[in-house]
Amino acid sequence: MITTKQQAVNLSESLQKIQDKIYKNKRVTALFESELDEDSYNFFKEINNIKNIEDLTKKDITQAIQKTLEQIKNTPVITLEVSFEPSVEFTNVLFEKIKVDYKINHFLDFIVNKDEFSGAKIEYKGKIFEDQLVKF
Amino acid sequence: MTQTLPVLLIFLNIVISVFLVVLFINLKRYEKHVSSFYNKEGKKTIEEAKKQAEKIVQNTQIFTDDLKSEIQQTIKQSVQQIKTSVDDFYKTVTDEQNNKLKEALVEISDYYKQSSIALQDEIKKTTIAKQKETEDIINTKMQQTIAEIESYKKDKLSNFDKQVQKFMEKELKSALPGYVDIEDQEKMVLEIVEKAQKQGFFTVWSQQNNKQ
Repeated sequence: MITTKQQAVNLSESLQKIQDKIYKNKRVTALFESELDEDSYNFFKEINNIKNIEDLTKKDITQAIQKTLEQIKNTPVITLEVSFEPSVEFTNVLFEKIKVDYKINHFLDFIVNKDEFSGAKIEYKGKIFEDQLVKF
Repeated sequence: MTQTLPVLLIFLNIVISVFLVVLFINLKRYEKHVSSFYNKEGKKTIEEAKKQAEKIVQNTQIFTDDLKSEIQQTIKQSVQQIKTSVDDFYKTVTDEQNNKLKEALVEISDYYKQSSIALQDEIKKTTIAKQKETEDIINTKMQQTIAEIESYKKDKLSNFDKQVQKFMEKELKSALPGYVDIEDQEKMVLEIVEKAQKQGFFTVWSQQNNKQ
């Protein structure tokens, strides 16, 4: 599952690499498998509703890459400033909650500030919401 | 008229008879003369012919001797030439055979040399490939083992860290009333997010964004 801004940035960079190599490489599946991790690959297929990448032409794949890059670019980022290192489990729970319960398409971006905060500061589309600030 | 005609006929008969006799006599005389001339000239001609024949026979004999000698010489030369040719041919064939034999020996020697080099190269390549394969297998196994050890170490350390963290948090909680552990902080973040949602923080900005 792609949940964070950093994962989305990594995916964008990998897709750019694939796009540069796609006309030189014959086995498209191998190229995707070598460049993307399982979550990123599934995300790419899900966004473009692809079942088998081998069925697509190179032009189709290029279009799918462009669509994915565009989608990543246009997906808003919810930045959370927290005082702890968020675990993968917590990130997934929070991501699913905002996506499923609030129906908001987004990526999470965590800023860890152990010295200053105990609680959270949320930034979304330039506005900030903060609460429960506890200073040690 | 009728009385003179038989007389004339008789007279004419006599004249013709006389003429024939004279002609016969003259012919005989001419024949004798011709015969004498031809006897004389014929002998002369025969003599000349005989001389000529002897000369021809003599010349022929000389020619035959010369021809015989020439033929013998020619045969001798031909035999010598044939012998020389045969010798040359034999020498050429022998030389060619020797050269071919030498070439064949050189070729065979080169072939075995090349084969030997190729075989050595192949053995070398195979040995190197096998060595590399073995090294690769060992390296892969080593990498796998190192990764497994690292993973095990990581898991163990992670568990240890969690236990230490829990212990520390428990101790800190009891020592510091204001301390909030990670689990509580996670809950707090979720609550803050819910609070923000209830206040329309996400909805407002989503709607505004959609309107834009």
